[in-house]
Amino acid sequence: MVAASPGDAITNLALDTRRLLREIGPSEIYAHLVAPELQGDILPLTRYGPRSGHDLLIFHASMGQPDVQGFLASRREPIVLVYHNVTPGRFFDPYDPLFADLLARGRREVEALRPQVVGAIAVSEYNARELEAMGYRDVRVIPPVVDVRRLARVAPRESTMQHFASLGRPIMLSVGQLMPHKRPDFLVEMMHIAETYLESRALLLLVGHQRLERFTRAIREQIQELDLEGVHLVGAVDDADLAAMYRSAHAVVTASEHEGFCIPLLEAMTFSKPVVARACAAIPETVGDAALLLPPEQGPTFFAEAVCELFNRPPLQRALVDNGNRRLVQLEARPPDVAMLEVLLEVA
Amino acid sequence: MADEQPDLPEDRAPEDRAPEDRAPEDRAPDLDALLGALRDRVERRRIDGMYPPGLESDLEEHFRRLTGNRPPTAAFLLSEIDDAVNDLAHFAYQREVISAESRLPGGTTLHRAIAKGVGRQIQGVLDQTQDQSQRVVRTIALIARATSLLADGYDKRVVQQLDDLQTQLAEEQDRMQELLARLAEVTARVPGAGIDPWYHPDAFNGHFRGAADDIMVRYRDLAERFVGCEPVLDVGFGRGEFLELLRELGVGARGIETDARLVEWARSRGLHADVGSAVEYLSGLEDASLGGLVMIQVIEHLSPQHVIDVVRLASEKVRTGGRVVVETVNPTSLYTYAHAFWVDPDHVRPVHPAFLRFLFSEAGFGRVERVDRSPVPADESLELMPGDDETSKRLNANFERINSLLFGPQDYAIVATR
Repeated sequence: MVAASPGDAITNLALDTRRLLREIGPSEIYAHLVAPELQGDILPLTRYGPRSGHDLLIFHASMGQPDVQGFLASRREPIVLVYHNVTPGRFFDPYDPLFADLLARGRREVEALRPQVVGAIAVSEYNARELEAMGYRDVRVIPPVVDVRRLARVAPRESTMQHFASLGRPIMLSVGQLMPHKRPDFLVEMMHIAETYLESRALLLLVGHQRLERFTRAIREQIQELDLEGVHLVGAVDDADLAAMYRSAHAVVTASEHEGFCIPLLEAMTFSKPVVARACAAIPETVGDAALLLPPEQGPTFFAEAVCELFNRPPLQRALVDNGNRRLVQLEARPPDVAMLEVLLEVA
Repeated sequence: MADEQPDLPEDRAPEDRAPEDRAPEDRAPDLDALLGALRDRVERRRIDGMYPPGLESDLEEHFRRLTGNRPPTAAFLLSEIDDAVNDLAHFAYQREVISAESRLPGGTTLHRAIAKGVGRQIQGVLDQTQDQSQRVVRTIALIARATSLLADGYDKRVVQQLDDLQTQLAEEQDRMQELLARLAEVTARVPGAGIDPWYHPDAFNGHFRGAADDIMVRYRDLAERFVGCEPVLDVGFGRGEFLELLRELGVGARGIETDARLVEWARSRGLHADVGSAVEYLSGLEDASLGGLVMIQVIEHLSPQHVIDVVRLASEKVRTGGRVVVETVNPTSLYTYAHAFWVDPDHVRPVHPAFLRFLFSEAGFGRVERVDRSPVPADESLELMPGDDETSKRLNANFERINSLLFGPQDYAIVATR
């Protein structure tokens, strides 16, 4: 994989798969970038050395990386591709052309890898369609639902819970990196409409890493110029705070236009929170009937109306939460590591 | 929505609730119906004006502008400085605990002693650094505050100036509106500017000009002069009698009128009609595009300048061999001043036949003919003396001179061939 960090969905899936594989034989995870917390457990790619003549490589594709690409191209081992999706570069063009280029290259790299791949796995039907468009055949779909309830077990930070409880306002939570394709700007516009025309007192918490400086600045300026007191750019938080925010939220929302799979929406379900999202990319198949899915062509006005409607109708909230619980049970019925193992045994 | 208070969801897991607590819609919410209702509501509120037109595109454009390649605003930078100073103020140096472990016999005690000494020394340095850092933070905060005050002062001055300008502009606009209203009033009073009657023009024509059928009989001879001169433009067609005559004669024609009600009426009778005024409409036509041009009782409604302009335009727009017929009130008959001319409040001034003839000749029309029309009823003019004695002859000669001046034909037409 390109990058390994704790709590990351791809890393979790890799760790789970390794645990299962180690019951059969030796297995290691190699990454181009390894977060300090995981060093020692996950090895740098430079330390890779084949153990026997029967090695199999599992490659988790999520972004472009020339070194990783070069490494894969040089290997003779058969490769199983796990496609988590590579965000289309166009979303990043205005903010970081280099990164946009890297993403575009990432997609081309996945395509170029095809002759070496003996098995292709996609984390959603949506991703499977993309792989098929690149020429891949027999793509298996395995949703990466690995321990989505982990956060629900984390003790929430009491002070954070108390802070939000003391506000006495409806809270919307949006979890994900502050990136253009997640459309936080759409949510900010939605808040402007809700505050100005619907007299909403709701708060919006935008939680997640802010790695794209120029985009972050634009969002901050957007909030400032629209004079929105109800939008909080929280940034990255630790698990205790995140758990506290999930618990304090009255709805979890996203306006994202591109998701290969969307774990935060499943996390919302583990906290029994209703979800409002736009029916884009793999979001509909992630949530099933357990979210208020808004037509992608509708703008922030529709979103604002939908959220206010949800806050006004407790039976609707309860119905979505119930559906969410059922959806989780459904997704957890087939653990992805086992499904992965099945595919590996088949191709090995 | 505005007056409804959001009902917050209960923060408990659904499985905590007994099934009988659940409303039927809990189990099967019709999300499609909900989305449909939301769509209708948004649409209705847009139509009602609750959501201003272009709201979403304006917001989108606003964000696009923010993402453009441009320097951050001063207000934004100041808020960033505030945050940064706040971060700095809460930063505290911390000393790592020095490990005193040693594998040498007695080493731990020695290490601990050294660590204690070094630790104390480091703590001293850290305290001083922390102290200095606090002063730096205070200085930066002061600078930020001063900058912010300066910017605020500047902002206030600029905003005040903008406010003043806006007030001035609003006053100027009010003055301009007032002037425009007065100008419109003055323009309406200028002769030739036309009147805007509340009565239907057809009622006026019916009352003073006679029934349409009579008119058709009276104008047949003039209409016949357009046979072979297509297309004909009838300027100021009124009730459309002349257009009807041309249609009967199989001459292709269209008409213009300034009154839209007359145009509508003409169209309902299958005539080709447009709203337009003489000079403006003719100016828009291509040169030599007309075979004929007719203006019946029109030029007395025009300002003198427009009369002159219309003749020039007629010479440009009517092709060689084409024909122009202009009929108007005859000012050489004093009878018309007592009767027809001043009945119509829209009449500006009569046009003398000698002048009109001069205009057409000067404009390049080869043949310019005057046709007298609408004779005064015989019983209204002075009766001649019977007998042919000298006295009667002299009296009758005088009567005839008086008759031609007082009771001459009420109208005349200029028939000009290009």
